[in-house]
Amino acid sequence: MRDAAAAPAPEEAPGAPEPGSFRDRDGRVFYREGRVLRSLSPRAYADWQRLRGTRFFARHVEAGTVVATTDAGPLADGGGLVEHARIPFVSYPYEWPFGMLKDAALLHLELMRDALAEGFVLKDATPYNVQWRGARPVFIDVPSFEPLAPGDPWVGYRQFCELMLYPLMLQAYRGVDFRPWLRGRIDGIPAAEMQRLLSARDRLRPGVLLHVVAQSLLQRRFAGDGRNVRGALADAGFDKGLIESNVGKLARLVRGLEPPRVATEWSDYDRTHSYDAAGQAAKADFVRRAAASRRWRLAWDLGCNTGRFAEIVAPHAGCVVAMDADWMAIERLYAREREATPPGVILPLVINLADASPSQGWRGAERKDLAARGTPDLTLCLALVHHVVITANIPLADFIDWLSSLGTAVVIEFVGRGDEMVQALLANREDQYDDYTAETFRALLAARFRIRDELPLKDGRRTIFFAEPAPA
Amino acid sequence: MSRSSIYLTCLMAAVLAATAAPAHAYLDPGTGSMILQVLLGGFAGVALAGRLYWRRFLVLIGARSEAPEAEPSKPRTER
Repeated sequence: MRDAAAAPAPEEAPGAPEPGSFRDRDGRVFYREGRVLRSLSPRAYADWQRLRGTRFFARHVEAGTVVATTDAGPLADGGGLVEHARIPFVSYPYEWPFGMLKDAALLHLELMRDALAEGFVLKDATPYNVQWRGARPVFIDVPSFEPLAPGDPWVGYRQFCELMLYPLMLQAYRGVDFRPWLRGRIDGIPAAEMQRLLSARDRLRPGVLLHVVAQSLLQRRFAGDGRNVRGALADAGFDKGLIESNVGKLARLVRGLEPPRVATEWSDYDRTHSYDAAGQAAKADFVRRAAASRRWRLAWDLGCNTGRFAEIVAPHAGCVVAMDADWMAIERLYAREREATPPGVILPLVINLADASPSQGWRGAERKDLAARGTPDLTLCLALVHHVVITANIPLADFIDWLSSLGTAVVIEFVGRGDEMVQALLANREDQYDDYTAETFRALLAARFRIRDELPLKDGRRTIFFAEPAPA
Repeated sequence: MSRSSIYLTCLMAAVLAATAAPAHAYLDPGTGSMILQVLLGGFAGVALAGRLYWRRFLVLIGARSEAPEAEPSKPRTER
């Protein structure tokens, strides 16, 4: 493992192939002793030798927008190995706020533009090829860069639309959350379906007529047509100027897309939380002391809201995955973090713990659930437990068990029944939560963790704990 | 839309009048999506469409055959 911030996925065996890396036969990822290696076919290895000599590639690796990659030597079959720097925590587009998908799309287009200028192209266009260091995008699929054959169109254009442009349009033009659409279908939204999702008025919006309506119409008209259009275009004189023009216009289109401004429940949490200034300071101090007690490889902040406490942990952690179900809160956190200098370590993700991303795709292993991508050694659960137990109806013991199964230390806040936030949650529902008491909570926590510190907050209506995994 | 539909259909017919060697990619670029890229290619696309129409016109008036053997496809690397 090269990266100090690296989080090894627990299922990794020596030389284990990455189960999500099979679609492109020319380059497959596997892990060996914590290193991320990729075996390249003879053709892909020859392409890599050319690629590493280009100016744009060196520039993007230097800037951190393409993953640092080194040659790890040739293979007997004429192919070769390359080694990639490790990404702290893998995330998927259906966990990103709008701004992250937009920036991933813009990075793709920028890489296309720069690659084309030196005779290369990206042969696919999937946002899964973009990962994050904190809030900075990193393109990870180096063998996607191929020399552009004369006369070739942009093969990845359709994929760019289905996995990046349409989801962004769906949220920008219709106000519809794109994440369930991406999570629901690994290849994104087809043009025909996107067309049906848009209203007649939407057809007048930028990019819709050509990229959605015309594309859907053409795909329908020529579905199953076995003729070799790609060769025909080449013979007719298709050249990279056409791709460059398309890429330039797409970049302008994507830059102009913004999510509709709607207030969500927690996006104003910093202003609407239930603490007074002194209480908030005491809570922050407690979190700061716990975070500073040692160095953390990977921290999770569950129900992070606008990320105030993730920021407190950040100086003491290699990576902080800040998760909240409220997309607007994560949108704001991302907007703040992407401007941070020097770049931070907070990765903001839209995740509803009660319905977190599953393992899915081919063999249920192409995309992984949260814990399979690396378990934390510190987890924050602040002002969270009442939502887990009362809003999501998850038994308290079940939740504490799950935390314990991660093998993580926790900073966890219990919000008591006397708290106005709990009373608001119980106002209109049957109180079936016999397990929701301070005594039960403390007993469950003490049974599975070693409590190192605790502090009553809000005149005893809440208590915050710092606990470490109990010795086995 | 009907006018642009006609234009797209004509463009498609013009593209398919040409012949070429097969090419491969692990990703299906989509026939319709490839044709669309001519429209999305700005001025270069307009020029290309013009050349395709001109070729189609030559075929129509009999100045050129539908599948000209005299103009073999360029050798292309397999993708």
